[in-house]
Amino acid sequence: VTGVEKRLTELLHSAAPASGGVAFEDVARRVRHRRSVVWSVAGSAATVAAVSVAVSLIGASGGGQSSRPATGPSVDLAGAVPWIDAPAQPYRPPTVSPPAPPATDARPCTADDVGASFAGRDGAGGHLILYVRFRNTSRSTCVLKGYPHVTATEPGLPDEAATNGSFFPTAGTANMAPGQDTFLGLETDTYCTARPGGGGGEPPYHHIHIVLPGGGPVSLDQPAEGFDITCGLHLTEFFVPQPEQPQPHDPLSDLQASLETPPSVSAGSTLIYVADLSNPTDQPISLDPCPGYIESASAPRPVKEIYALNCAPVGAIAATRTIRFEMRMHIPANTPAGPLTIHWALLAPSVTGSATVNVAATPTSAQS
Amino acid sequence: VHEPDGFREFVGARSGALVRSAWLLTGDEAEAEDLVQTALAKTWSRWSGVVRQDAPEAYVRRVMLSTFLTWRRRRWRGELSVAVVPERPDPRDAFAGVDLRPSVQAALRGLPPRQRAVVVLRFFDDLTEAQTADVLGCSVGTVKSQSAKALAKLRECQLLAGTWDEEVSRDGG
Repeated sequence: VTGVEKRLTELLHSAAPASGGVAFEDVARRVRHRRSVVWSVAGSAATVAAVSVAVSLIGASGGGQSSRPATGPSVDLAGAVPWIDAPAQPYRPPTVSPPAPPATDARPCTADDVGASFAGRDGAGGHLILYVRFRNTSRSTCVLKGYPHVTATEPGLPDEAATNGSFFPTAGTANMAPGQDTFLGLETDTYCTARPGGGGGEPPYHHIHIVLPGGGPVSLDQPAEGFDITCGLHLTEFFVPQPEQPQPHDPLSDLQASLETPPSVSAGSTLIYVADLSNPTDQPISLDPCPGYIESASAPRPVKEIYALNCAPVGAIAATRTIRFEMRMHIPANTPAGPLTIHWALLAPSVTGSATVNVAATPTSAQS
Repeated sequence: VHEPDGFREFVGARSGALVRSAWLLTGDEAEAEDLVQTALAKTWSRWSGVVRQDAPEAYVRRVMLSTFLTWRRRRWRGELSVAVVPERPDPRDAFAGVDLRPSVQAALRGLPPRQRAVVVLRFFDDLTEAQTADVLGCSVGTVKSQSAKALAKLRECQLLAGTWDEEVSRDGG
């Protein structure tokens, strides 16, 4: 085990939060739910009809969440889109086609076109890489691509030719305008067949001789550290760091959510509330494909449900308009009396809302 | 629904540890509990056979990992890249473990799901390469290569820069 692996183990153990685990009752509820889904999918036509009747009866009594209907104060549902018990479809972010690969059709750079210098190092898992930066000092665009011919040299020692291919992945290359850079990685290794135990002595090679594909030698000296090439010297191809791809914008992420909850709810009942989805933009936002949403509360054990929004009656949310959606959430019977925060999020980036509802004391909780 | 013998006790005793592993996979407490609940629910009907094989936790972990990898393929899990890099913790800080959480979370999210799974199994659950290969249903060679790639990426991760300084000089890279 290396020091890095040990450190990683320590990091993971210190970062992972303590957990009391999950409640057996929540698992049992899932098992019951899974079975009902299997039934409804696998049943015959007659069975499906029977299940449909049963589901509609359950729906009339507060949804498939097997709890008492809401009691106490409720929110105004006038004009709200009714809640439906439907599974959320997977979220599919908008896609953008990747940019065209950069042009690499310029003339090959020669040694006279570039200035070379070492540009930092990195390491991982017994592999060490030293980067060489080539800056185009000429007056015209040229390109460095493929592999150069590289030799490590040291007076009194045989020259060692580098081999093509590296442990470290690199991006592609591109035409290099005057003043721009292209990089090359020189990799040495701690472990190999010649040195299975790792480690090594004083790095004996201090000079690197690079012959560019376009012609001409470039020499670099590294007297301070040198190269330990017991395990060989390996090359990346020439590369140019690629800019990060811009993320496509999802119009759904422009929506704003807020919740309307009743002042109180009884433990063991179904909380009926409203999620308001507002479109602050000047363009309609389509609900096709229909996004899902997640609702959660954290007492006494986390409650989390994922459903599809009831999009069919809406289609799209017009510019500057708000649509109210009826929501339901089962409040576990053992939820202690007091404030309970409800979190709601559309399955799209950054559309969230929360509200606090007071869980009313029940005879049972009042006694305990 | 018939309750399998010993299942409730297993959930009580081991689900906390499973949730911690699941948190490292998902990076979110609610999703971690969701993942563990799903894995346990899938195990429910096979529990008697699983117990007979004498390694129920390994079975649940296998289900949990395959569920996680399936979710990663099918579902959007609400992960967003951050524009601002969180501050790195001072290692002398008594709360360094807590402060490190977002950095570790973000660094793990930077790994592809399979590499993340290998990291959690090897370096958190302390499984051997062979056990990890068994859980993931792949070869030991694949575990080795995925592990090396994951370590390389974590070492490159800016969020954890400085974390490895001592090890770099000790390991020689």
